[in-house]
Amino acid sequence: MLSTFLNQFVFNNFNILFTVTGIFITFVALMSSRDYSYAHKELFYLCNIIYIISFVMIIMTNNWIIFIIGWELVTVTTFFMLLWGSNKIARVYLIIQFIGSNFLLYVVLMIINAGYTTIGPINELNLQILLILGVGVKSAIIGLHFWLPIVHSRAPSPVSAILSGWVVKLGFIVMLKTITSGNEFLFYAGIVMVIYGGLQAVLATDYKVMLAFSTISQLGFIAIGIGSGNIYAYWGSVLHIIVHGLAKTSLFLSSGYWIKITKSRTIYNFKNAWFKDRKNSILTIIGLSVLAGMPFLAGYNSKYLIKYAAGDEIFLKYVFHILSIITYLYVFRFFRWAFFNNDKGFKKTHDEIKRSNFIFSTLTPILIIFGITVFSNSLIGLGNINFHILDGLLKNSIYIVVSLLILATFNWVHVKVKPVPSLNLLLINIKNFMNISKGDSKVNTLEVDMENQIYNSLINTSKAINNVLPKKLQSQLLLIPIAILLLLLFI
Amino acid sequence: METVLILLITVPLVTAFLIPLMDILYKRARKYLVVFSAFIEFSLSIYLFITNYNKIINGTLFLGYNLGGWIPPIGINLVMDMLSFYFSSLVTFAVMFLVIYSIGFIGHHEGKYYVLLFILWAAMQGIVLTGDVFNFYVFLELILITSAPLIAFKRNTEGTKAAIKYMFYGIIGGLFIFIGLIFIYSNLGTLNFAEIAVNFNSLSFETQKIIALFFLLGLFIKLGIFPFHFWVVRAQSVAPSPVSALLSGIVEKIYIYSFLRMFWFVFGHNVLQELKIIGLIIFIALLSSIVGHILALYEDDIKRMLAYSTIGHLGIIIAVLVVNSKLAIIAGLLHVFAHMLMKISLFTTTGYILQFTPSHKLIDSRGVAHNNLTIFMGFIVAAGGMMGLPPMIGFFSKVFIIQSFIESGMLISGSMVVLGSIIALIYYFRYFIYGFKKITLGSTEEFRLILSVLYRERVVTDIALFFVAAVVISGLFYKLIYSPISGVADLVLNPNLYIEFILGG
Repeated sequence: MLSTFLNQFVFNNFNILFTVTGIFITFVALMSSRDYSYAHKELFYLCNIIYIISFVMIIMTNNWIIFIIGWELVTVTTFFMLLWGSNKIARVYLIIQFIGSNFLLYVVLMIINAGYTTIGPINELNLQILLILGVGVKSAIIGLHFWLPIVHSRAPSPVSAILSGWVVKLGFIVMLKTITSGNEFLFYAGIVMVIYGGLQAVLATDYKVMLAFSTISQLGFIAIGIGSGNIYAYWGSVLHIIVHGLAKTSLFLSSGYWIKITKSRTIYNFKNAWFKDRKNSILTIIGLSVLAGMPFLAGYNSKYLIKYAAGDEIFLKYVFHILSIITYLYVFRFFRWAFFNNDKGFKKTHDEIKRSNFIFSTLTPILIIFGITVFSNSLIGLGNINFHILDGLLKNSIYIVVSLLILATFNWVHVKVKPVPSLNLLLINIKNFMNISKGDSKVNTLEVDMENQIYNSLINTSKAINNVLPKKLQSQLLLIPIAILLLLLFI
Repeated sequence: METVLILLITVPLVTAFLIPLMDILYKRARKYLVVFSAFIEFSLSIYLFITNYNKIINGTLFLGYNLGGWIPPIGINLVMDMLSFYFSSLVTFAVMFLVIYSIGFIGHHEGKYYVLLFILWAAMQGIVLTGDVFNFYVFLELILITSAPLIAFKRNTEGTKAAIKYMFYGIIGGLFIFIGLIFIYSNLGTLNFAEIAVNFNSLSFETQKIIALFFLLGLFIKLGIFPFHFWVVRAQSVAPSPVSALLSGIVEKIYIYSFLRMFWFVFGHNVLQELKIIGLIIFIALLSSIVGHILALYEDDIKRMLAYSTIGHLGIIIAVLVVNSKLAIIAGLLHVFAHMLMKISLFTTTGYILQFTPSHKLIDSRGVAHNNLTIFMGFIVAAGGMMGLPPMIGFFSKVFIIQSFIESGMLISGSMVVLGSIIALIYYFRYFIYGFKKITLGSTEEFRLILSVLYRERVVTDIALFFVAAVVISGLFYKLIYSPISGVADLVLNPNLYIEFILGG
């Protein structure tokens, strides 16, 4: 009995590495969540424990059904965690994720039917693409990412850390197991994700929105690594999943403290952040540098490996240089507005902000990233790799110079403060787009509720069906002879 | 000759006639009598399970009982095979707990209520066990006659209207079955299941067609498949909650049993293939399922919503059974079990919650969750099973259903099931939102807390939570149910064993 149960799980280095990282991220986020005052703490911890069990199921198992069960449980538990933030966001999240996980269930059953009874490499291209789209709703593949900036920026900071740091990675972990020899669709989707997410992050005015878009951008790098089929790039993706998970957790947790300190989410209002909180500033700088891929940090190692995906094609190599510069763009723009923006009237006040777990929850992920930098070679299964740090220093300094020049030309991208994205705005944009395509460019400022819109359309459909159906008993009974006649005619 | 089989029918029947006697003698002992005989019935099932444990595990259970000692083609016989045992034990299990639930729930005219309930129970056991078409028809009508007064048990205009509608549909459905039965008898001169099954292929194609069509239509009307679904909603929404649970959870499953017994064992599944009607049945059933789910969205009455969801799930069960592969039969039978548990728990929990609201309307159920959090969480868990969330049993049956559709290459049919569960999420969520809405007393809107009228509240909540727990536990240990069900599926795919047993034994 026990052995048949254990046979459903695989305990190799790869799985254990991911499990340990995931549990660590959840633990750190939980520690940080103790600095927030909220009701029903025990229930929140219970949710987290079930969440840990379910993602361990996803990572460890080789059985598709157990994988699906874990996937649905992750959806449900993260939905419950989001309830501590806003009810509406949680509801929208659940509906979108439920549709996604149902699609994934369908795809997985098709995969099982095609003969892949255990989780392993899949050779058929159409099944691979369907699987990518299935996990894409949770892992924010381009096109299915529309909910991510909204939910991740509006969730409470510890929950955003869990969502952005680990939940989005689960889909990529499954792809690592199933797509071992590359997939062009995923490769190009990854490039688009890096560019789209990066540019949106450059244009963002809200710190958490910037982090959410940078998540999409960094997920693009992972997708490139998996999609290329190159063994070095593949292991680069493995490394990047862990490194980005840790860095993003630290950044989102520190963003929670930034919001408490500066009482604003807009990066223009951070003003001289360095003098407001030095520790937090150092941690934020290191975290963002990891994302940018600066040498001597693990982000450099993972991106170095992912760049093997270009192979011998010169064009792709240039594209990859541009991708690196895009990350630098939003990082330096944030540094400019957060640290070099004079705040003349600022006086340091000693507000009582509860931050007893601040150091632990934001510093330890960064420390582990330093550890990974040193032990990169032993973490990945390729033997000794020379990361060419000197070459990397040169290249990265060129990237920095180029990105600073671009930013200076565009006046450090000072855009108007945008509201936090919401589904209403998304729907208004869609509506405006439709109007433009019709030749009518009137901007609709009416607050449209997306949920209501969808509900109303569904309910109107059912109302229409209801109206068609007869109301009187006599006419309802009349349907029986009609049905008989139709049946007799049919046969 | 297994005497337990006849006892399974007679114990509830005798109880039904003992209850008025007990009312005359000593009224207060009525509830003990009811629970006692329910328990006896339950222990008969347990006895059958224990004595035939090995046969049930191997899927080779066959027990027979000839009424009056006459051998099958001449006399009426009762047969228990794996299929009968499966449905019989489901009926016994669910009705026993619903009887206990009713003790707390039904506060008036209890004597009449239990008489009707126990005759209904006997009729359901009779359908499951009988081996004779006419006997089958009699029990089918007995279900109708006893359940119609139960629907109208609240004695208001709505209830009476619903019961009349139910009677109309039930009688017309029964009439079709009766006409089919006349055709069978006039052509074959026998009413025994096995005799009909052996000789059915000798009939002309036209006769076969008419008989199969009449039975199909009769059963579809009784099941409430899409164009004939009007009575389902009326009946299940106005009946008292335990009766709604009984109708939706068990009586409908008995019709599914009849569908399986008639079209797999008596007529043979190849009749459907020769009629080229399989695609049509799947289409109608899935259309019914989607229409049921969509109509549930529009409803602002919680019990009508649940009734529409019943239509949605019955369509899925019928469609997946007609696919007729081993996995499909297993999936259908597992969903029969899953839907029974989930619907009963939904109706029992709402039955309790509705005690605290002025009406069944969703808008009146604002804030109910704050007062009855445990029961409301039970409702949410059961509804999660309906949507197909793990670890509830509904998830596994949904997986099997989609898998069997995909295995047979019916990709669109499989996606209909997925679509249904997504719509289910939306309409159940509407109720949750209303339930958790915060209400401040003394606001402009009139709101008053209605005190429960239940005088044995504890029994009601305990049984409701028991069913919810059963949904979760059976999901966690679904493999234990899986092996007997695969035995049932083997039998359904190989009905000759059943025929040989009756004619040879």
